[in-house]
Formats: sequence, structure tokens, C-alpha cells
Amino acid sequence: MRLDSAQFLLLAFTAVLFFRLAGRTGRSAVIALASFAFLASFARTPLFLVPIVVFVLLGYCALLLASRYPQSAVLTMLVAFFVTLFVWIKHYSIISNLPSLPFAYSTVGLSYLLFRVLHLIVDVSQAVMRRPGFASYFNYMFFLLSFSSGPIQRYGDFQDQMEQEPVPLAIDDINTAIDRILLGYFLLTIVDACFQWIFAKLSVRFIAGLAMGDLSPRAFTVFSGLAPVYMMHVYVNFAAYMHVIIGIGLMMGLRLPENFNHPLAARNFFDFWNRWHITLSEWFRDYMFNPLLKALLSGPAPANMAPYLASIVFFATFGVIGLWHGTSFAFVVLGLLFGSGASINKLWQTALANHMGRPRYKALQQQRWYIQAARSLTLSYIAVALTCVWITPQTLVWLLTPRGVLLGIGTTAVLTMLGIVSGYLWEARPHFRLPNIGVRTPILAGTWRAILIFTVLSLALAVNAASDIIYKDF
Amino acid sequence: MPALRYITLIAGVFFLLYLTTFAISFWAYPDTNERILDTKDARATIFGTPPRYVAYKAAAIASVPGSKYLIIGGSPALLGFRPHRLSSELGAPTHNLSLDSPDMSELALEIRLLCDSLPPERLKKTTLILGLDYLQFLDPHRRWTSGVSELENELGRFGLYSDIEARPHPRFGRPVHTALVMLLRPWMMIAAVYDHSILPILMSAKNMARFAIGDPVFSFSIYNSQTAAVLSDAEKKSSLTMWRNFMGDGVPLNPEQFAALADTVRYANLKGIRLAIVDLPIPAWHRDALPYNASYEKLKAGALTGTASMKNVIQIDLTSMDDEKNFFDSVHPTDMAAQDWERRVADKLLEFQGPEAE
Repeated sequence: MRLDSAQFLLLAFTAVLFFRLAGRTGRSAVIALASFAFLASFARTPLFLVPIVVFVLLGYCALLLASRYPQSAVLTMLVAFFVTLFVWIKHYSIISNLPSLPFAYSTVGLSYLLFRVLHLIVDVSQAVMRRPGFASYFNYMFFLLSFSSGPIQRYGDFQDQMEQEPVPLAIDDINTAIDRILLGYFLLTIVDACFQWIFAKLSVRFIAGLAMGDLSPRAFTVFSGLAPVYMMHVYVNFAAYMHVIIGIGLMMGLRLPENFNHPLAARNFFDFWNRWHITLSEWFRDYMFNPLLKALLSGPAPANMAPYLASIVFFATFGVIGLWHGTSFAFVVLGLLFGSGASINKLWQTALANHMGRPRYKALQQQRWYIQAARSLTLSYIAVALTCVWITPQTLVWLLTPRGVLLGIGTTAVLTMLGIVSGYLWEARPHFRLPNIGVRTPILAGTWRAILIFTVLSLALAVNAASDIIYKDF
Repeated sequence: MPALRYITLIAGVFFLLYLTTFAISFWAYPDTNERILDTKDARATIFGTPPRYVAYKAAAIASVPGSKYLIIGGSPALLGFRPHRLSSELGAPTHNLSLDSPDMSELALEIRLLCDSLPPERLKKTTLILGLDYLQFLDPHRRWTSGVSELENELGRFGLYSDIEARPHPRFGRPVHTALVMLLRPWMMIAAVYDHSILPILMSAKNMARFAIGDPVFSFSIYNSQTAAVLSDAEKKSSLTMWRNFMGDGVPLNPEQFAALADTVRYANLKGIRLAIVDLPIPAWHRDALPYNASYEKLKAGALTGTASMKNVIQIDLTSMDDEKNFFDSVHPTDMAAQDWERRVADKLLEFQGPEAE
């Protein structure tokens, strides 16, 4: 079931209605039923969802084990088991020689199920939280609003809200929810459709051109356009999805965590990841980066080595984040690029702070030109790195040759320059306020929103070019 | 104001807007009950485009009992077979459900959609007339930016069809489907207005109207003019450049499209439906100047191997009508030539003894 489909909206708003009508105990049943219906919509054959369901059931068995045997050896074994199981079910290319399941099956939402199950196993094993009951566990794992593409909400946050008395729906909540949903659908059906259209138009010719050895200035120019357009396509597509599900959550009275905070305003690589797919970054910080760094720092290395050890851990963490996005060789390259970006950024920060002294370095970080340059370089680097996601395998191999690497570096440099100019132009833009059209009274506000709903729905149906949520495939 | 009253207000205003647009849609596009379906009229209907007309209107053919003929193909088939005249020649209702510049995969999808909407006893009294030329065998990624055909896109527009890629069928039974199509009139109208008024502006603004740039005669004129024209050498040259750009110079015809043709023939044979494959002519100056025809004939022959032994499949060859005086542009027949196409096809079909329903 696509999230921009009438079926999803019907299911979601039916769930909202019954969730609001049900008492505290009935709400779990409503979520369970709606989540089951959502999950079932992906089933093309009777066996299609079996691996996902077995994965979740094994997850609960692991929780029983983790709560009973909280030793770190058991925890390590369980984590290793689930990561291996995940890699096997997803059939990563590195294990393509191993036998796979002898039937067609879906892996939709599996990445997010892994994050949730590892979070529960680790926290239950370390007694950070109590083992959830099976029904709560099922609802948490398959929650229809976050099952297929996140956000990666923590169990405690989810369950606290489920157990609270529902807050009566206020007009402001309705307005916020409708605005988020409408903004999401507008971004998805119009803005993202434009980016996708431009990308599709340019990429076919670019890839075909590269295959025929076209390295003309035109190909270079096209690539310089393609890389940021694809990044914007991913950003708008995922941000739109988040607006929609957060809006629907608000209608239910549930607050889902935000996944974006103006990533285009990021001042460096780490800042970008604190603003882009925030719940993923936080998950990796808590369950990979912090434990790894702690383990390394507890060793015999001297204290002044800490920044360098951190850069190694950043490399590993961001390498895994890149690898998480897909199962093919392209995502190994993406992981290496993300990992390199993070560790080089950390080493740069360390070197500059050592060279200039911390106060002067902090002052430099506040300089406008430095902010613009760092922001542009970060966004350009990530845009070029994301090429791994959309390029064909044959073309990727070519991009890894010295000439291809030069193309990547050249494109990053050009985009950085353009980004700096755009940044200054953006700052210099005239600021104006939209006229107050008097939507403060409930009648006007309600009428205005009804008109907006009709308009966005009409635009979406007329243009009919929305793409599915990209992160569902990751 | 309590939340419930506020939601009711929003729903009420929305419903008022809906009702207003619904009423306007009847004024802008009065409902007609055509006995003969013709995608050439699609632009004048609320469906707006041939693919949408096929997706949401063509189910009507199922309600008419008795023998019927369905013409399917690209714009040459759309102009080359006028259904009212053919209905008289054949003595049975003939519907033209051809699309604009389809590829064979899109036509195969359309055939499955139409055949699945007919009950088996009516299917066996139906004859498909499939008009073919090399233009339908292009790589779909060259034809459509997203690689998804217009018909597929239309079937997904309102969520009324499921299993669109493999075997599209309405999610609901016919009465509910028909009622929903009626209820969707406001958005059908808005989509039609978008397609006819806004999209062309966006396209020309982006300088993407490739046909208009390349072929001054073609220029989407198929809906306006079907009179004879003698093309100048400059116009022919311009047309050939357009086709080279459209097809991709040096790009081979797409094998998947020929596989779709072979699948369609097998499907028709399996279903017991009568299928007339009509090899459509293109002007000799066009055919001979471009490199596609030889490989097209070879690959098509491969795809149609075994057709001769199928009792319900017939091939009709019109390719000898390639004189330039028969065409008003680089591919489309004049009205005079179309009447000749119709006579020849009608004669062959009336001779053709395909298996009738028991």
C-alpha cells in the first residue's frame, strides 16, 4: 500500500476515528488491527511476509532471552544473530553465493524492524527498560505509521503515549495536523514530482552518454545538475512522508519524533546528520558510536588520541549508515564515502583546533564565509556521494576510475562554489511577510483548510506523478 | 468551537466545493452515451486523453451484447480506421480504442484490460484489430521519462485498479466501479483541464514538445486535419530528424516490445479471441530513409512465428499503400487513404472465419 494512495488515507483516518473513540485498552487493538491491515496490503502471496513475521517473532524470543540472561556475551550473540539474519534475508550481494529462501518474499520495513529489535534487546539486556508485553511489542514493531520507513521511535516514547489517557483534540491540533498532512502531500505530489521529472529526464541521457564514453563538458554540466537534484528528490520525498505521518499521528494524539530539521542549513557533515534522518543518526549514536568509542577509550591509548579514535569510530559508524541504504556493491562505496566524509571532517576539526587554538577556531566557525563554505562543501559532497544510489553498476565502476574520481571531485568543487554564491544570495533575499488573510476565527480557518484540502487533492490527482517513498526500499 | 464541530465545518465546506465542481463538470463536459467508442473524441470528453478514456470509459463495451470489433494501435490506427464507417462495413459495432504513440507493452496492457472486462461468452464474439508499425517497438525509457506508460499511469491515478503492472482489473464490481467513476467527475475534469490547458504551457515553456519542434506538419495536428498534403523536402527532412531523435539514432528496437507482441498473440489464442494483426504502412520516403524497418520486419516475423497455424489469428498487410500521397504527414493517413484501409481490412475480416462462440 502506497502512502499517497486513497487506501492508505482511508485506513489511516479510519484508525484515527476508532483510536479516538476507543478507551485506553481498545486503542491497542485499533492500532494492532490497522497495522495488520497495512502489513497485509504488502502480501502478494501467502508466504510473502513470512520472513518479516518470523523476524519479529524471533525478536521477541530474543527479548525473553535477554531479560533472563543479561550477560554481555548473550547480548553480543543476539545482536550478531540479528544482524546476520538481516543480511541474509535482505540477501546482501556479499553473501549472494549463500542459498536464499526458496520463495518470493518482501523485505519492506525490515531495516526499521532491525533497529527496533536491536534497541529493545540492548536496552532490556542492560536493564534500561523492562521487557515489553507481546501485544505492546507487536504494536511497536508493526505500527502502521512508522513500519515501512520510520521514524525510529524508541519503545519507551511509543508506549508512554499509548498508555496515556488520550488528550482531547483541540482546534489548534487539528489545524497543525491538517497543515502537516497537506504540506506533505503537496511536497510529495508536486515538488518531489518536479525533482523526479527533472532527474529522470537528465539521468537517462547522462548514464547512456557515460556508457558511450561521453566525457564532454556537457556531461560534466549535466552531472553537476543531477547530483543536487537527486539529493533534493530524496530529501523532499522523505520529508513529505514525515509530514504526512506526523500529521496523522497528531490526529490520533500521538507525537512521532521529527526526522528533519532544515538539513540544508547544516554547517558541517555531523551537523547535517543531526538534521537529516535524525532518528537514524540518534540510533547509530546510541547503539554503535558511543559503545564503540567507549570501548576504544577504555583501552591503553593516551587521552590525546581521543579525537583520532573518534574519527575511526565515525568512519565505521557512517560507513555502516551508508551500507545500510542498500545491499549491492554501490552501497559499500556509499558507506566508504560517508565514512571518509565523517572522519575527514573530524580530523579537519581536530587539526584546525590544534593549529589555531580552540578560541580562534570557534571564532572562525562563526565567520559567514566559513559557514557558507562549510555548508556548501558538506551538501555538495553528500549530493555527489548519493550518486552511488542511482547510478548503474557499470557506470559506477567507471566512476571509480581516476577519470571518474576526477569528475566527482570536480563536480563537488563546482557545486561548492555555486552553493556559496547561492548561500549569499539566499541571505540577501528580500524579507517580506505574507499578508494576514484573516484565518484566525475558527470559521475562516476551517473554510480555508477545506479549500486547501480540495486544492491539494485536485493538484495531486491532476498531476498524478507522485513517486513512492524512497526510504521504503532502504 | 469544539473539535467535532470544527471537523464538521471543514467536511461541510469540502463537500460544498465538491458539489459545485461536480455540477460544473456536467456543464463543461455534458454526459453522452456514445454507442461507438472512439479515442479520437477523448479530448472532447471529461476523460481528456485517450489513455484515461480507455481506463475509465472502455468498460462500457462490456455491456453491449453481440459481435464487436475493437481497434487498437497508435495514432495511425486511430486515424486510419474510423469506427463509424467500419461499423457499417462490418455490420457490427466497431470501437477505436487506439492510443497516442503507445509502445507494444502498453497495447498489450490495454488488450488484457479490455479482454478481462468482457465475459467469456462475449469475448469469443469479439475481434481485436491490432495496427502495427515500427514506432511501437521503442525502448520504453526513451518513450516515457519514468519508463511507465501513460495507460499504466492512468490506471493508477484514482486507485480504482489493482495489480496494474501484471494484470490490471477494477478493485470493485462493475456497479461500484461505474459509480466511483461518476463520483470522480470533478477530478476527471480538473485533470482534463490540466492536460489541455496547463501542461502544454509547462511543456512549451520547458521546450520539451519534441513533436512540435521537429515536425512542423505533425504538430499534434492529428486531431484537426486529415487532408492531403504534399510535403516539401525541407518538411520531410525535418520529420526524419524528429523521428531519429524520438527513436534514438543508432539505438536498436527494443526486444521486450516484440516479446510483448508474441505474448499478446498467445494470450488472444488462449482466450479464444479473434485477432487481426494489421501491418500498417508508412510513407516510403520515411521508411527507406531510416534504419529501423529491416530489423523491425525481422524481429516481428520472429515474434509472430506460429501465427499461421492459429485459427483465430489473421495477418493483414497494408504496407504496400506507402505512396506519399496517402499521408498528410510522416505517418498518418489522409481521410481518403483511411477509407481505403478500412475497405481492405473489412474485406479481409469478412472473409476471415475465426472460431465463433459455441
